[in-house]
Amino acid sequence: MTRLLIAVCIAMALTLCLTAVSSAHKVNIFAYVDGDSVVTDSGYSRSKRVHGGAVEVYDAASGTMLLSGITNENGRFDFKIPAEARAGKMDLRLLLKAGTGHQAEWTVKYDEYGAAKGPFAPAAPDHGHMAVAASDAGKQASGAVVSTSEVEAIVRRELEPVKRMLASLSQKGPGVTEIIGGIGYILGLFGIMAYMKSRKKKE
Amino acid sequence: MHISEGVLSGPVLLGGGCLAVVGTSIGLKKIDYDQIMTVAILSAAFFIASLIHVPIGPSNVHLILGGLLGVVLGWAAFPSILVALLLQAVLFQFGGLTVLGLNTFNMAAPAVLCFYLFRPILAKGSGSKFSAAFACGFFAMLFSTILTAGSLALSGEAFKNAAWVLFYSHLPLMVIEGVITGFAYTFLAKVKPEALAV
Repeated sequence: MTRLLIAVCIAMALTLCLTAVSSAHKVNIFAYVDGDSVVTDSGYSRSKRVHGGAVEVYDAASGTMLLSGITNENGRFDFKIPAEARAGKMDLRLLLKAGTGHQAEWTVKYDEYGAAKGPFAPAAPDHGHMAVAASDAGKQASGAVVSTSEVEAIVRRELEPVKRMLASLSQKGPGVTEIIGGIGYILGLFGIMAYMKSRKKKE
Repeated sequence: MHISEGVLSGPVLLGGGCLAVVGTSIGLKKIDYDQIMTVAILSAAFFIASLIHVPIGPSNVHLILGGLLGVVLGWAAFPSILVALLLQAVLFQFGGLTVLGLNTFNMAAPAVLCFYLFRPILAKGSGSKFSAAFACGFFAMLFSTILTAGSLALSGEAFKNAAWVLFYSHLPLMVIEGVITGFAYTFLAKVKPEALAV
């Protein structure tokens, strides 16, 4: 019986630790790359946004601060990706300070924005010219010709709602499962305590 | 009122943790067999209370019920709050595991203090039970605010700023907590007075 009890305790402790690793903040920040800028979205919950919270952008490797800003009423803060970040291939660490002890962070990897067309990225237009040149011959036949930049614009427009959806998904609040589970844990823990005390009583 | 991870400096966290351990061990010693279920139920209430958001002002304010736990449980509020906060940190991502000790202390210490301040009045039966319980809920919240601002100040955030923001955003909540504690206490005293006999 005691062995079973210990096993149950260990199992409970393990599950606790597993979920604890994921994240442990009350405020959330979510960010995505949109062209040559980064859009950040901060909130306490899906409906309650952080307005007037400070967002600081650091180089993840060296820890130097690149820039900082304040979120607007919808918890949004947009900034242009700094040239030095692009040049240094930095991962950006975004730190949200919502005040009175509320803090959260998010990392934007270089891979996410490195491929996107920057303000002075020379590579992308070449493809555009090539597409145009190649299509000159078949222009009359196919009718519609789409350049790279147009494709990029379309993809960006189409992805916008998906990115918003991801942002709201990453900030979901506690659900019924967590609440009921939590009450179950509490009763279970105190049940174990009652059991221990009752054994002591008998002895 | 939950302080997030990564905000406070190491010594503050360690100090809070030590105080929480002391409080919890005293609390555990004081719990007797018949009281365990009361502690468990109030712990569950505390756990849920943080989900009840009160839409006031710019801040994110929710019920805490520290005063109610204090006036009913006394020192047992420490283990009760510790368990509830642990589960909040793990399941809801409120606060965090490294700040657990300090958050526990910030909410449980005022509860115990209010127990000693107002329990004699309630035990004597003189005066209105409701107003004494109201004061308990109100002041537990107020002291929690001061402790939270204090721990933020020890880690660098300007005390006066943090304290005022916390105070103003939680002022309506103090009143609400007071009313809830008042009703809950008088209800318990009527229906199940043996649960209050600590």
